[in-house]
Amino acid sequence: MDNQPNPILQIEDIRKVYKTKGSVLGGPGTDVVALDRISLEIYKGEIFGLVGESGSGKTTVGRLIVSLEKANQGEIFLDDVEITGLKGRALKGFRRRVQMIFQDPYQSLNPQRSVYDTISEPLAVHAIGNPETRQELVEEAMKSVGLSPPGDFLHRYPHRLSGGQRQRVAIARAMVLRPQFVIADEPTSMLDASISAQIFNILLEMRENLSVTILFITHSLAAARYLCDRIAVIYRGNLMEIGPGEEIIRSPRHPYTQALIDAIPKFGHSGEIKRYGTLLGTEREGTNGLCCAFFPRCKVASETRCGEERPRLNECSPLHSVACHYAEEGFEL
Amino acid sequence: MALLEVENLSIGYNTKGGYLKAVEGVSFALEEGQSLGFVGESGCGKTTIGMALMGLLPSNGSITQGRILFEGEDLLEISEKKMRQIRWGKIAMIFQAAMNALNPVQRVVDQIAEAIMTHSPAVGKRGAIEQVKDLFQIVGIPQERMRDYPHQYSGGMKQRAIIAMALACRPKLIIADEPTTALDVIVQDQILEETKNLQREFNIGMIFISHDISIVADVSHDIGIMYAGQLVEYGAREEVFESPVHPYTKALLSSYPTITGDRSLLQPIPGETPNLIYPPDGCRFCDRCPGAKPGCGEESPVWVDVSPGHKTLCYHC
Repeated sequence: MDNQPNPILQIEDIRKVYKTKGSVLGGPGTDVVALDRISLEIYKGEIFGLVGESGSGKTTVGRLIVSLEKANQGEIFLDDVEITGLKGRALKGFRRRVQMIFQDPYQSLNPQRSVYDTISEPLAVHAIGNPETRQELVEEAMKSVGLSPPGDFLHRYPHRLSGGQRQRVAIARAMVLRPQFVIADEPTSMLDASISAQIFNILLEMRENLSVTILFITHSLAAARYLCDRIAVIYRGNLMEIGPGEEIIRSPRHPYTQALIDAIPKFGHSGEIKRYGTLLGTEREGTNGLCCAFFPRCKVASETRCGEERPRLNECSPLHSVACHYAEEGFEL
Repeated sequence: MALLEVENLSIGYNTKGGYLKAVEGVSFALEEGQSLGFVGESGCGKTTIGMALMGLLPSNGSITQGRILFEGEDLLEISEKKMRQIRWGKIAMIFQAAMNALNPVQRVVDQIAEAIMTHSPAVGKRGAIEQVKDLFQIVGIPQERMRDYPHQYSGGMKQRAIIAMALACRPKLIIADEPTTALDVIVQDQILEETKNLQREFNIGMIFISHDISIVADVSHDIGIMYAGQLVEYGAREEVFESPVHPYTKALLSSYPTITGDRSLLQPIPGETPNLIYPPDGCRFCDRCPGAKPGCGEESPVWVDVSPGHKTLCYHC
């Protein structure tokens, strides 16, 4: 990457609220804040990891970027063009440049369409090439994800593919349009370790050969560390920490990131395992809507500061930002 | 005498496509209060072994060979009535996707009390509820949540309730099949820690089954690596993880991203697991093995001792 990182995607002050249905007896619905004023930049050519637990809002970020959902507030820019308001032709053009790989290849492929139909459909939708050139493009995309020789797979239907092969088809479908930006939402959570590693390496090759930018959404810090240049940690709709991948793993600054790292089982390294111990044994009450998202579970937090005021992301070293009142001065437990 | 000894166990399923040899020639032993972890990828037979130990194989599954000695008694020889006492009474299981293992229309306390009363009717309803109180204390669910329904629990609490139910009859052996798969990492860590403590406190033998090496490594004394229905390496945790010998074990370990150590390139295992309806001749890992030699594809491998207690199913390592 250059010294001057060049953002391809900018998310500014995004807020997303889901309304739950009221009860059948007429009770009121409640608002669930999925994303609470999130801002981040993704640089051209990087693999950016968004790491969070279930319900943290990580998938919502991906869905907002591909315009599968609308934010309640905030703006998203792709190459300096605001995309949340795109319509018609402009939206179609945008969709050609941004593609998504979904979590479950058992559900994201249409069982009644062959591999060729599935991968060539985006070409037809965007009126690219004629039938012969399309076949060439499809075969090329298949080779790039390791489905070769393509002839063996072209006319198969999903039920005759293994999970790993299905996910390769899904990746080929996303890549056949040569998008600039790809969102991979937990692409390996349904796959075995040995197959996951194959998929990880395909994503690394894509970035290398096709200079695509990838947003990798995952619950696994270990997978993010392996793939990503930078990692952002998200908790209950709030960005807690963002920085270079290796730095986040080796010297996390946010108590929540530290608690996550504590919790990951470490094997093959018996002996000296340092624990940060930032997780509170029993949760305390969140004081009000203004408190830090991690306040109820944070050992470091103080009632007066963290319970009253939600910390903003602050740079603690170049490229590394933390949303914690105590990260700057450091804390001892 | 070992708490559990399994000898040369083979299990198969009748399927539409033919007879599927899910488990073949698996032997292992577990001492009281010890824990054993089975690791392998989907379809390797690890869950089938757990179900066979519980006597809960689906109707198209059958044990074709072998013995399961529990406290010296062969579970395959005893009557169903006797087995019903042992199941849950002495051998309990924590199922995969435990979130769905609770009855949604019954209060959690009643479900566990019912399990206790079924096995010891003399306790009575009031006595059973007292026991549930103790169990909740043990697994760390607040007393005031006892009368809740399952949907009012978080994922971690449901898992704790399931563990409470497994402990209800003071079993000697608990089989935990992917006990934390659906849980977030922080909750998973708490549950695993809790499980280890309970195991020590009550001297329970445990069998952990998981596709996730790191979880099994965290909780098990001994490890068995499974591939395509066979055990391929077996030994103490430290031995298997620090000096693995079977090519599959090595490959599995180097395909797994970690947060410790150097960030080295993951080595995926090329290819896919074999079809167990027509398993390959010779070594089943042969096709994907970087160190395969002529002959590996024809002759079945035999067990080789690496060091005392550590063995592998491979000629060449």
